[in-house]
Amino acid sequence: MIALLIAVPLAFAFASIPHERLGRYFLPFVALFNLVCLFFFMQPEQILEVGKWPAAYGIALVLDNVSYPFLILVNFLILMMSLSATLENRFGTLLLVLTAAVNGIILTGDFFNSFVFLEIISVIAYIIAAHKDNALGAFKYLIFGGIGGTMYLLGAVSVYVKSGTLNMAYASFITDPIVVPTICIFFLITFLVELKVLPLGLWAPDVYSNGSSVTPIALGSVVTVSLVYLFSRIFLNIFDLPNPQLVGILAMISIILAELGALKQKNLGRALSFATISGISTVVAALSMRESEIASAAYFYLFNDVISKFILFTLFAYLGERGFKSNKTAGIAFTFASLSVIGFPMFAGFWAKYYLLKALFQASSYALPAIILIAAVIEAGYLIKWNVELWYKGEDTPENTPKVQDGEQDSEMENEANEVEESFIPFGAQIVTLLLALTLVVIGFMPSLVHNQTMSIANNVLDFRPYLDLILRGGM
Amino acid sequence: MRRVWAILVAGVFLYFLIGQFLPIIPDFGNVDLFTRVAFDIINKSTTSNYNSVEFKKSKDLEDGSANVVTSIVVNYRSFDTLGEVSVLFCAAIGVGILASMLKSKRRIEFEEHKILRTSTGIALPLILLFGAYIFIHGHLSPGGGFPGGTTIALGVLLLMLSNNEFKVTDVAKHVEQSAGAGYVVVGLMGMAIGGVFLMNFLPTGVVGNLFSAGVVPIVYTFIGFKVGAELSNVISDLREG
Amino acid sequence: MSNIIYYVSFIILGIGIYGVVSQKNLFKQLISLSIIDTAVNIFIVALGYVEWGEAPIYSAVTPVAKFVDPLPQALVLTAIVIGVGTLALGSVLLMHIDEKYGSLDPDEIKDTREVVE
Repeated sequence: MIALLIAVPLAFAFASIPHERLGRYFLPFVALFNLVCLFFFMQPEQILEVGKWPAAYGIALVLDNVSYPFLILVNFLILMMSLSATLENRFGTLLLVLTAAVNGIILTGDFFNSFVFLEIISVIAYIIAAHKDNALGAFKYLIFGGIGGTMYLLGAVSVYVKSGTLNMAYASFITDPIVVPTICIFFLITFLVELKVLPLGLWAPDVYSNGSSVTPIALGSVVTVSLVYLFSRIFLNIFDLPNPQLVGILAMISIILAELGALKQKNLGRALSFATISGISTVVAALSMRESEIASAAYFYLFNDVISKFILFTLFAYLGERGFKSNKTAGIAFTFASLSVIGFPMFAGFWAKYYLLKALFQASSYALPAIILIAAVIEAGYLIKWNVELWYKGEDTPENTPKVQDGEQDSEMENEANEVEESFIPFGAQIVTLLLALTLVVIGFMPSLVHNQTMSIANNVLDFRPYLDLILRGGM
Repeated sequence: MRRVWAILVAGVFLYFLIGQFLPIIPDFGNVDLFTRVAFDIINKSTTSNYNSVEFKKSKDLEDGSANVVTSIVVNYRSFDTLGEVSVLFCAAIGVGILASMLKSKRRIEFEEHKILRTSTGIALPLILLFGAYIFIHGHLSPGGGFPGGTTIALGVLLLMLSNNEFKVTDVAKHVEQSAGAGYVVVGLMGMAIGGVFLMNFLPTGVVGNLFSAGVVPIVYTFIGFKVGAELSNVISDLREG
Repeated sequence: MSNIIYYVSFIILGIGIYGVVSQKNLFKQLISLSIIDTAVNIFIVALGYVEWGEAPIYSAVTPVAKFVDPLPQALVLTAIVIGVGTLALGSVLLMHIDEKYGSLDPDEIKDTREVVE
């Protein structure tokens, strides 16, 4: 039954080839089907051995208390994205395969299987990154991502050599203190590239700022959530992080550099992509501390970051850098999302930062909270500046328009004139951004809705016994 | 300056690999298969007790292919092969999307050559037959769906080189779609019949016969057609957009 | 010195990494990525070798099942296909870059970008 989450999107992807636009009509229904299956027909603590081969010899798909909330979040994001993005020809097919791959990488309990799904996600990401004439950014991403994938393959094969099987649960029996860090360095390189920790995350500004309504959301929200899940599964549940202090320091440097980089940008898209780098680096830095309170706050932070960036990037894609004069609802959603990223009270971001700082102080760590506060101040600086500029646009002369990037936004120069402002945002995108902004406010008033979930995820992920019991079933 | 950085990075990586990684892996050739799952997979005893497998004599084992690598790729780890088929599928669609977005209309023309044209008429059926042989006998000899499909695509490439008017039509797209859907349908049929996705639901027969190993020849045939059609589409897109 | 195949594959991997970092031409970076893939595939197949083992196929000439490890070979089958997909996509992206900027050298691309802006 769990395999339907992966098989149905894949079947619909193959079925959507005859006609070019079929894919974009299949996508919302498939995402809805996945959500309905998850809510009503599947309960956590299930394991499916594909092909009925025992877990060590074949592939096992595991649905436990850690993967269940992540699956719901990812399928929800895909449903929202299918309503709000404009998909060109054949992109629907690619996004259907992406749905299958993202569900697969969360469900799988086998190292090589996760490598294959990671490569599916990478290949689709290279194609989506080239949207809107951005072949150079996509090529940079291809080189970085290709090396990352190769390192993951080396890590998976080393697990096979040392433990005799490719299953994740059986691999956790490797305990040699020299072997485990060596294997984990391979996986760490892959995650540093994919989770955009600078300096290996330098592909992100070029890829996320292409002004498309699909790329930053599919890659920055959907794929990032699944990769954070994989990161937590490998480094918090099965193996130990090799040298957690070094990873923490790298992530902290990345936060500061990304915020400083965002400050200097004249293009809203690049500023937002640097803000994404900083957000995910915060999550990585917090997860590297291996405490359940800090991990729970990190997941809350991830939730807030992913939803706010969804709103921000969608509105950037449709409005470009026009103002909010004629799109007041869009402006409200944009402002809500930026306030949530900064951490204003009344929004979800406030609780994210509050829980994170509280947990860090309880664990007597002072470097990361200081960096988070500095980063929040810098974020407030440039996000408020952008908000002010966008709300009052249209009263200034066109000299205010920032540097044109690759000649693809010169149509804005014409729109700066006094023309009748139409609504450039499709109806679906308006509804989705308003809905998500409302979610941020609701969570801001009732954070326990999400906080209980994240506490349960964090407690389950740090305790390896339920996962091993599920797969080993009491015997080897 | 770039070269200095490059030598530094490559040096650090090599130092890590040779200094830290090499000592923990066993010596070349010094592997005890009994400690790995491969031992049970070779002897086809993952769900039953150990029994030695004999060519053309053992019957109705849990997996019937004589080629052990095929039994891993299509039977034990069939889910990975489904993922791999999806990777090729997405790459082919991506090449199609991106190549059709190129603004300059170009078409690579080749010189007409009488000898090439005549010999293609002789060589092409043999190439296609050889490709079909490879994927039909995937469970008996080395090869399988992927090399078989590639050989078929090479035949198409030869046809393109020798004959400038040859076009890969929409037939290839339909073949690709139905073969891909066929693989997923086989998996779903396994779910309907046996209860688990991608289960081998046909009888496995005698090791070494052509009609053995259950679903494996069927799956490899689907993969062979799919890969052949996909690579032909890729070549055609790269040639003329 | 029986591990010489491991050393060879590591050296090829090092050459590939050197190529990706040091080469300026984008096409050479793509080829270096392909070299890295090849080196890793050689390494993985070499990990499965059993001394005096034969190809893992039951046939009339192998009455006793003394085979090499078949699982790394299955992994490499998938990895090669993934490498091919990446190489095809990279080539098409390079065609786009070449059409847009006129060359594949990052220095000339930077100059073209500044002229446009």
